[in-house]
Amino acid sequence: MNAADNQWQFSKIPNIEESNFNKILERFYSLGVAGLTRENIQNSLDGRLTELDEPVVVKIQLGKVNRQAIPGMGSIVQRINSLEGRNGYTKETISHMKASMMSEEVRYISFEDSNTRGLTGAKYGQSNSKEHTWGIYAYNKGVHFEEKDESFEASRGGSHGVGKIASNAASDVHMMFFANCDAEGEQHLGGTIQLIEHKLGDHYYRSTGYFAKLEGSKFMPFENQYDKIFEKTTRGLKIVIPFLRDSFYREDEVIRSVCDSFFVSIMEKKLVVHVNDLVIDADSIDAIVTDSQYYVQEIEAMKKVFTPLYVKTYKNQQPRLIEIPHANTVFQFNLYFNYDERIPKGRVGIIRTIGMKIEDFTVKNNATKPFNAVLIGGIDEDSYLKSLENESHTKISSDDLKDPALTKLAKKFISNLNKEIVKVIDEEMRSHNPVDGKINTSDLLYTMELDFKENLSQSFGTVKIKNGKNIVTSDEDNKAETTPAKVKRKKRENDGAGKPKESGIRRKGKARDKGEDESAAEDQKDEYKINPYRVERLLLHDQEFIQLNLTGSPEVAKAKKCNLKFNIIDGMGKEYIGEFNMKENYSDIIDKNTSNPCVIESDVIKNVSIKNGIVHLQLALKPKYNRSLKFIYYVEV
Amino acid sequence: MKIRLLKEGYKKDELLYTAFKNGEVVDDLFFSEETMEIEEAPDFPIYMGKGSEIQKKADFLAAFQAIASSYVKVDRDIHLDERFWHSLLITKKRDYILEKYPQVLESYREFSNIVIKGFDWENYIYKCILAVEYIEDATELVLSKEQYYELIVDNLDIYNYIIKYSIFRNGEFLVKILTVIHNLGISELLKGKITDRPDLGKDERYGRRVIFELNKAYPVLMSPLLDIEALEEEFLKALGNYCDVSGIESQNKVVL
Amino acid sequence: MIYKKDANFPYPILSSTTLAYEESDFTIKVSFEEDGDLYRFKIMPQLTSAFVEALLNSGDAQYLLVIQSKDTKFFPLDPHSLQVEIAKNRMSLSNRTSIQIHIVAKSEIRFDNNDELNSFYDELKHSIIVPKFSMIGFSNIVTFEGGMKNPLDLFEKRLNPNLSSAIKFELGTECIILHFQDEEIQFQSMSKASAFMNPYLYTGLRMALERFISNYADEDDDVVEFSQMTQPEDLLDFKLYNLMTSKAVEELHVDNIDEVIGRISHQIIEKYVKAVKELAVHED
Repeated sequence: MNAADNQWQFSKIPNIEESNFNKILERFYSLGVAGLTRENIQNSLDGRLTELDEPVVVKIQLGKVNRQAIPGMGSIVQRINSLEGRNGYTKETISHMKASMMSEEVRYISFEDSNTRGLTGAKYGQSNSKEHTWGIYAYNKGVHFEEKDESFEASRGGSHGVGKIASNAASDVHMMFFANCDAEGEQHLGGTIQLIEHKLGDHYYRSTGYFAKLEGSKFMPFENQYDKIFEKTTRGLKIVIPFLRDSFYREDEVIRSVCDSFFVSIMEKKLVVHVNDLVIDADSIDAIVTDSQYYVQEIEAMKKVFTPLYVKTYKNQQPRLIEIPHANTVFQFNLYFNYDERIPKGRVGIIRTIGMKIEDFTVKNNATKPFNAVLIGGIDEDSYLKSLENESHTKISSDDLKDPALTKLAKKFISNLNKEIVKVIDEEMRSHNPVDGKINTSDLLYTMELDFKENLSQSFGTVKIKNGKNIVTSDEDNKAETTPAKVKRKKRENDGAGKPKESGIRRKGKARDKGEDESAAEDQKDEYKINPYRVERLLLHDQEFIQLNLTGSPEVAKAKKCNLKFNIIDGMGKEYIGEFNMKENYSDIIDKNTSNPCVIESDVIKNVSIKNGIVHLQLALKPKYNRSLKFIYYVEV
Repeated sequence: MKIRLLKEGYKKDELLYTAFKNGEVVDDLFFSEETMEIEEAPDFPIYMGKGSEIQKKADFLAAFQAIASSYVKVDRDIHLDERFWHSLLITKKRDYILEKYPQVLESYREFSNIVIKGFDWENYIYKCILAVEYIEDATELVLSKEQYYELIVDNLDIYNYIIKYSIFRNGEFLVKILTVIHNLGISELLKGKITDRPDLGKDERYGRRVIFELNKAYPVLMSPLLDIEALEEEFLKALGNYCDVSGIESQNKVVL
Repeated sequence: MIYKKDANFPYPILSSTTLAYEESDFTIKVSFEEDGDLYRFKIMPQLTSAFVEALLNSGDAQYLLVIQSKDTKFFPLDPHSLQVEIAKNRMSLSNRTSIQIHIVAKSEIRFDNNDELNSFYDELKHSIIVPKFSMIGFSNIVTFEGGMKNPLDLFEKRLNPNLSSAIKFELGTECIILHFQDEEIQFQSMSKASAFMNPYLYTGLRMALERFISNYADEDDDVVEFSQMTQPEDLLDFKLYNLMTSKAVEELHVDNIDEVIGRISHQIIEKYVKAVKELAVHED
């Protein structure tokens, strides 16, 4: 094998001691793309340019690229093919790598930051100088470069020095690249791959490979002249992870992770994150956390993810000061507290000063209280919290401390923190549930009241006027004219000499201007609706009797002759025009006043006499006559 | 499950539609102070206006089943409340709706027609809930519930007319009419258009006219009180006004 | 369906607005009460037609109660018990509801001996035959626009650190007062606190009802009979009295106190149990 065209460097070792993959890979793998995102953004925040008052911008791209764009694949394929698994898990991982590494189309994710320092001294390669962060970042494991400024160091997110490997864990072949552009504009590309110790040719090699040239015994980076996805032309660092695991290829999860962990940084304008085309900044975060595409929105259902609540709490609440004595000092935290009966699980989001959430803190014995809170300390508090964080920065506990004295102090601190927050919870609960006064039992003790209206009055049919034409519309829902109770008696009293309103006879339309419509002028008549109480109707075996009393309306009563029409009323009171065909239902009609026959047309009975205001007909039924019908009557005079 | 009720006037609020599209109906401004509580709210088809007959039938039967197992048990104050349904659909069923009726994203019209459709006989949820209430609450069924559910779907046109008329929007009457149709085996006939009576209007069907005849005769003839046999007679009499019924005979007599 | 449109029927109809029956009239009043899971509507008819009255008595005609809200329900009424019971979950009182009584023929009815009709019918009435299942009369319509829940203020709580016991019940002038020594006894710091108070409320109600019995029961049998008693002067007792009468409680004695509490309150124990169960699920 020719070292000159080999872009991936693995150090030679005398023999194989460790047959496993780096254990941390597995842990980060289990944290998913959310953990990856969190880790990388945290690193970018740590790398912020303090002299600049601009937010750190992290551009996250998820996409696909052709395999050829990824440098050094030939030698990596060769390496991976040489790997020998010695146990089930390792065998499985290796075969997964082999299956993944040949795909033509390769998923990738990249994290590109700006307004950050980037790494320094790349051109010196593996220099072993504390000043040259490239060398530390690129070629060392488990060490992070410490800040000279102590408060800056305290506020840094990462402290376990294992963050880089999170990126390897996200790749099917444990591969990651980092493109750097430094203050001088020098652009380099480095990378690492996590395999296992292996034998290639006659030699044994370390598990970690570096994307670098070998100059003497020193690793040196390549100048960045690679595919666009590796391009980094402004100051800062760009992490590129090819062969991104399928389960990590989730844009919505990335977006959620950004909001979950960094909502404070974002709202404080310390951070702007782009996820493909979506910009998450102080202006847009509200809309994102209130979008059901990303978050469950029903407060009652927020039992695991609380970000929409945190954002609301942090935005809307005034902080109150919480003091917690610790050793010989007092830690001070700002607590943003929101009480809402609908919240099923009460959590305190503990936030570091860089704006990253560490934990959804459960207050002892108060896990189901209806509140949501955000807790943020200062630099001192931050540095203490940092010492309590677990490796993936998602929980504070005393478990990771080695010194028994410190463990004891930490336990006390956590217990005091609990106590102080409980005080606030109790206070809020009390103010929402006063201890004295009426007990609200409206769901238990009540009476039902019904307000009955006994409609003793009934509608008198009203008539709608439509341009003087004979159109009747349903008046079921019209406001009915009403008369008071004891209708019957009153009607009878008014009989004959009542006011027009109570005559029971109404003219439809205006009195005609007979000259208006010449051709029909002769036939133009006024039409009157006859209230049912002025009509007696009786159906016998094969004949029907109808008697109309028109005496209530002198102008109708004085007429000698009229035409009679009628409309069907259905079960709901709706009136139908033309639904009843006279010709089909009546064979003969005798005018009882004169004993003369009347003329039957399909929709009208003609030539009906009026005698003393009374119309009286006897109608002979055809066999198909529908005996169940009811009618409203009209006369034309 | 607590359902927050939308604020009155939501039907005219196009902002609500925009927010629904974006999955953002969370702001307090959309909601009233009121809530309704139900135990469970399973998904079920809420719109059967499109698709093949087979699909519609499957959807109806699925809806009946879901409603019978849950919603029908809650109070009428809830399950016949328009605002409850619209609030439930908008706040809890967005994903289901988008998957099953993606056209709601296309226009406000589709949204209005599918999601916030007026809660009357034309609304599919209304149709289903009344059907289930009537069948599940019925005390005297001569056929199985499943048969009645099938009869409803197979006689949807006449079912629509029955629940359209408030006089006939009555459980016992529905069951009796369905039994009569089953006995006479005239589903297909009733669905048919009346072609030889241009005077009746364009889309008149035999089944609708029968219901209309019973409506005209009410309450001189209190058809909801009739027993199966008497109703069958009146049914045929009404149908006889529109077609020759001499060939129709009760096939498998089932009498309440 | 409520029938409200005047129209001319093929035979004489008894109603307030038709004049076929000269003088006779038919109107109703409706009253309402709650009883557990039921609503009960009681009808008080005023029928001044001897002819129709006789038909009802002979069983040739029947009262048919029609209730129309979201849909229409028909209830043939037992002539001896003019009331219907409807399950609360099948009656939506938040909607406009109309009630009417139809009088329906149960067999063919002849009008020969109907002397209440106007003269038009004199010569014809011997030929009138009204078929079975026809409506021969209808009442006025009683409507209501939806029910109102009137919550009752029956309880007060007070915090009193000097109390010599954890909790103390007092029957005040207007309210049952619960004194607590410590706010935790009120479940002050717990959400759903109100449901956890229910056993206290139950105890309080029991006490108040026991006193109610001792105040108003008949000397000889220790039973309070609501139809007999006059309204209490005491404000707390008056509230209880109203509550019990509105929920159709007819009598109260030491043996039916729990049953009465079940009637006058809405799932007081059930809600408590539910809250405890929910808590048990959360505290995992």
